[in-house]
Amino acid sequence: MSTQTASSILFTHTSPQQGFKLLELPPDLADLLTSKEPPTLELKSLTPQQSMTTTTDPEYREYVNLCTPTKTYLIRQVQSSNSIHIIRPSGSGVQRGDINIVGGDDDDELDLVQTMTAIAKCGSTLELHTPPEGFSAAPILERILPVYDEMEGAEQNMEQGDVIRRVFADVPVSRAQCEAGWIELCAFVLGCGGHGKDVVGWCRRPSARVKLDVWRRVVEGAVLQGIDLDRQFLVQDLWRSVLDEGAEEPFPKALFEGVVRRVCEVGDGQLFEDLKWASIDKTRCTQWVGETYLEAKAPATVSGIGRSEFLNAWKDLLPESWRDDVAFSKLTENSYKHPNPSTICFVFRADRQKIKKNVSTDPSATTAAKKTRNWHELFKNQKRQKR
Amino acid sequence: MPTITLHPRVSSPTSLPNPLPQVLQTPTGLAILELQGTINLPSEEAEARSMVSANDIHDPSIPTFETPVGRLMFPDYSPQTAPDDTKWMKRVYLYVGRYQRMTGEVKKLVQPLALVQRRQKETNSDSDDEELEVVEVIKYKLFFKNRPEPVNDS
Repeated sequence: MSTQTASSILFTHTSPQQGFKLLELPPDLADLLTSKEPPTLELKSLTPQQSMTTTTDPEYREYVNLCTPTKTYLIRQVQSSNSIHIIRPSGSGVQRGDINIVGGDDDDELDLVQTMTAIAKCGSTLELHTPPEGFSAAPILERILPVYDEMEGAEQNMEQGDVIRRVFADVPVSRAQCEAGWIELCAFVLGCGGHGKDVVGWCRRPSARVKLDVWRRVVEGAVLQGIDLDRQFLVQDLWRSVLDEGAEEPFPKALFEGVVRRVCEVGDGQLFEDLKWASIDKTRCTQWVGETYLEAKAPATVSGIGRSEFLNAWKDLLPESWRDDVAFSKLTENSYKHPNPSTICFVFRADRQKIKKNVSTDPSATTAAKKTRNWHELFKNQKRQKR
Repeated sequence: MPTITLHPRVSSPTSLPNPLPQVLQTPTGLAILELQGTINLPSEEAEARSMVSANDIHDPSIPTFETPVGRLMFPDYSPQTAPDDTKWMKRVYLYVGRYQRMTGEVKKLVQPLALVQRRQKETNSDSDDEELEVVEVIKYKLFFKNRPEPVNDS
């Protein structure tokens, strides 16, 4: 028998068994985990309250994401019809059943000095997916943070970074994506929420109108105090230029800083550092000012404003030397539409995806399609997509 | 708590000699064996044994008991095999009991698998947050996809 030359390994089953989960690793994550200094990962999900209030929306059903410091993966459990055993070498000091049941009577044949034992069985594996549209914290933060639309008293007596980190604990994407989303929304810690545990209630995201007001005062202040927004400046100087002589703060300083961060060159981890020197990212800023203006002034099809009126207002909100940069092409794709040939209006994030998919954003059309029993109507949109 | 920490692998190499071929060896000694079907254990035996409190030297907190199932054999492998020679991987035997044999192979996983386990709580730690850790990253598996065939006990 050919097998006689090869040594046999005793295979046993250990009870009690242990609990393991198998996690399939995409190449980048496998590299990360086997690197010299692997990072700590996080499994994040929405809080029960958050998912309860949104159960009607299939997009936010209960789910768990795996987050590296910079990336997010969606976890999906896949059942396996095979049984997957986790095995490990076993020593000799273990209590073991009669090994005669596995081998011949004659012990010479069986070189059973070495043993592998099954310590766990898994019926499923966890697969990781990245949806093509990626992950962003902005829509989640948009949903959970209260809007700041008029003056509220700020009370900065707490560690802001700590509050922000606690908010991020409930946002199921990676830390870097949370920070990017926070900056995108110009969110800030207002800090007047009392002593409750509801950290989200201590934070605000400014409305488009407020953001526009802040920006307008920043530009005016810069002109008055001779601060060149084209170059690096001291954020403290800019804040002083915004404040009227001796007057009260027109808005919380944290909001001002939120807007400054939004338009500046951002680096990883910058959110938790004090702003000292800053320089504005011209492209980022121009785009943001245009979109914010549009959101504030023309948030819906019916409130569309004239195209040239928009372009002029946009130019007026920028430092003098940037006026020539203004163009429709500078706006994010799908962030605006033309209700009629001479007007323009803002398209909210949630509706942009639909436009991309060529689905009508007009709510009356979708409800009409749902009500009808006509299959041509029902599937019209999907057909269009395929073409 | 919506955030659960998943710690990266902390190397705690096994002290036990690993009888598997080099390619299947991992620092912790953990490996994966996949088979079609299940291993049925005599239930009364498993139950009876779980009552026994043995002095297990590896994990003193849980008494464990091993039920022999069969034998693993790599007929074409020898430790002298060159690392880039993978022919031996095509044939692995798993004898179950005395009279059945499954033929399988050593397969490279398309995507490596992380073995994730609940982290042992430190006794002095006062937090009750659950923490997980990646105990091993596995790149090859033992895979038995065929039915067992009867063999002569000789």
